[in-house]
Amino acid sequence: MAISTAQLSPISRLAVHNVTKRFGDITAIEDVSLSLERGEIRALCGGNGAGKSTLVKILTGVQAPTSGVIAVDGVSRAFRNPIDAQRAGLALVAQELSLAPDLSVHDNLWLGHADAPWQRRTAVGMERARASLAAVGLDNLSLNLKIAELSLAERQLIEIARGLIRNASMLILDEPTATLSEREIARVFDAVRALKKSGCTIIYITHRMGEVYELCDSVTVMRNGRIITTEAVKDIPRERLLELMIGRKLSDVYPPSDTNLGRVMLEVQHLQVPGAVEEFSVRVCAGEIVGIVGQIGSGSIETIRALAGLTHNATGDVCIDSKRLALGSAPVAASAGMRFVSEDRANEGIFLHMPARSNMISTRLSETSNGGFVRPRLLNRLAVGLARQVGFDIDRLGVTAGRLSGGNQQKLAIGRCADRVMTGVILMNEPTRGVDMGARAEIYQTLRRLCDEGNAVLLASTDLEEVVGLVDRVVTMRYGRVAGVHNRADASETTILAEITNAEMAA
Amino acid sequence: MTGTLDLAAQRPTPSAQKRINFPSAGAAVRLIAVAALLALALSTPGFLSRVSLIALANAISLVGCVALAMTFLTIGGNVMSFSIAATTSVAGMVFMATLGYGLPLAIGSSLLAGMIISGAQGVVIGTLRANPLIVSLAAYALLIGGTQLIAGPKIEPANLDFQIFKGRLYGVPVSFVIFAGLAVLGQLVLTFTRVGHELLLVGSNSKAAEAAGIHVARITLFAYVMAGAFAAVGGILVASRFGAADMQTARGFEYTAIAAVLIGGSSIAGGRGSLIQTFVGMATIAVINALTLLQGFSMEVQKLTIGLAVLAVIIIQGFGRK
Repeated sequence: MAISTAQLSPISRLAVHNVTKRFGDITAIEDVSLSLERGEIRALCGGNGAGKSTLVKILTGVQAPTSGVIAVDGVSRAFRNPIDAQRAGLALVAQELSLAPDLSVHDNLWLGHADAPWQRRTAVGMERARASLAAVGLDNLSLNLKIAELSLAERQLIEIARGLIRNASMLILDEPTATLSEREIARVFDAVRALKKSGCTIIYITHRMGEVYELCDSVTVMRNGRIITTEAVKDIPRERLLELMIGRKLSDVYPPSDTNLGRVMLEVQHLQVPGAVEEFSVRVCAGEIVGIVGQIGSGSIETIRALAGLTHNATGDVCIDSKRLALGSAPVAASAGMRFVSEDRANEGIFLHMPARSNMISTRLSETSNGGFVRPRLLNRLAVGLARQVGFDIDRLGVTAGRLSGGNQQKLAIGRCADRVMTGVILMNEPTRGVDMGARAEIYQTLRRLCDEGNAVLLASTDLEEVVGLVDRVVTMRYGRVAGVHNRADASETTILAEITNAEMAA
Repeated sequence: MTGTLDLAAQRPTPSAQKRINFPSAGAAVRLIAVAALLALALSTPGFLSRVSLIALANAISLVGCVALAMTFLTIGGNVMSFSIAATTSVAGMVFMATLGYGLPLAIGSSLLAGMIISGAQGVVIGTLRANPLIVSLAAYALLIGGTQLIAGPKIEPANLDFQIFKGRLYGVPVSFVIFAGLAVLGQLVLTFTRVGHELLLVGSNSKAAEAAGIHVARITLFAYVMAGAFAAVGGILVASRFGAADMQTARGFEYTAIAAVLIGGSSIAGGRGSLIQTFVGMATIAVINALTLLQGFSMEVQKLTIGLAVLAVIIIQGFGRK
């Protein structure tokens, strides 16, 4: 892959040329090229599975590209590890906070620094720690405080300061505001603008349209592992940007809603999970998809987990198909008709080291065995039947699940809920996390078909667009309580967002 | 914008050939190793003699039962147990102590003892999610101390009924027939029963198994009870071989047993493996032992060779994961 010198000039601060990354059969990103200037804030947008995180891993030296070149100030670099990237001036401010809660602010700032002094505290080290804190607006913070004593926003700012203490002049911020309130977001924005003024180049990954227009100079949209467009923010209207991110009109993705509802499949009253859910009630009918929306920590994920029997200390009145369900045991919930699809696919959702076939029938051994003995032919027939239903290639049933794409893995997790003798409730967290658009559409159709079979679906999602497009009813949650309930017709992304972030209180 | 759906569908699908060939790389290495070992065995004078083969069969059947027991634990995701050889010894002592009440009762009580001792650990590990290694270490100390307090240092049998386990069936040692029978029986349970399938799923990923509605604690208990029963059979065979039982009879068996499981190729992480593989692993160890002796090497070289074999398997497994 030759790179013409014409492409390299004029010399940009950070340039990515034709970078491709493959994992075995799967192409994560293909032919990605970027060029960033000094003091530029670049928004990086794209749905789940667009390839943003792979690009970030390559930029920070976590993974090596299969082909392509990264150049800093016109000099091409091959990062062998994250330390190399750090020395070149690149730093990632991670989405999941990676601070050690029991260590002090000072120690956390120096943690993972390539040239951290052997001595734990030096005068110079403390001086630099203070300077980096000042740069993000935390001038008065004591270096001796433990991270656990700080607010979420302060922790996020310390993450940024940690990038600065490493002399990073190019920062990658991965959804830094996802868990913050409006007022806290303003603090982070101030810090980012100050960095821009001092000449830092910033890649700002976000799902929020508002942040692109408020903060960023230019925007790059990724989809299916490719860069779709890079444009100045002022040149691109909102609707156009949204369309580019999704890749199609909303009506092409989401199947039409079926309106004839059956009997009440799930009735939840006064559900409580200590520390997560204060009070939750809902009623879901057969044939209906209900979505719970809330920010991280709102209790939406925990609600689903509690109903699936995975939270031992959950309490509340839960009836499934008019029969009372005792909470706290996943096998009990499963035999009562709860079918859980986990938000953590790799660790809990599927069996990564097992073949696709074993995954497909992992919840169905009671149907395919007789007197304790399994019947291999029955088992295989079921696996093939389920694969056909969810659009999984039956020739790949023998492949180890870990080698499949996120979309195919999710098809396994959902496929094992389909075609049951007894109808029940499908409980899902983040139905399409890490799933590309093509597989998404298939998954949404499968969910609708499950509804037509007489099941009810209750899902929690942080993807507002998905919720608005897919579900029949939206339940919003905030601080562990139900904030509002909307029908499909009168739910819009803006009203939901206002409700879950409690905009009226912040204003 | 509708063209993008096609774009997603057109992502390169991998060739079927590549998919089928890949996982057999580790198997190929194993096949070559077994072939080399066989070639070496056949070219060693005296190896194929009747006496030598019977000695070989005898040597593997005692530890072999313990290795089969260990396989249930390993497949279920609980790597190994330090108390399993002690369980074997205790079961042997129970067998010898109750032999005066008749052979069937002695066998029954011995099996029961093994199942209870091991099952109790399974309950602690399954319901409390305790670390299996630590639990087995505690059980080991309890068994060593407790048994000698209750039963004294050594138990002599009341009669010679145990001699049946030292006999031959059509020239084949009875103990070997039992070992081979256990391997087949255990494998049938694993392949053709619902609990067997669930054990593999639990071993592969216990969190995912729970989320899928499988009774993880019950399945773990099942694995430990099976292990206890198999270890007890080993105990009966060992005690019969020596004509008496004490806590020393099966000492050190757990190390050979886990070596057999690993050389057989069952995954250390759980979820993959079989009792037949362990049988082959056990046979491999016995052949290595016999060969080193026949070639005139010392016991130290024997141990060294087995250590290297286990290391090789771990390295192959490590590459397989990458």
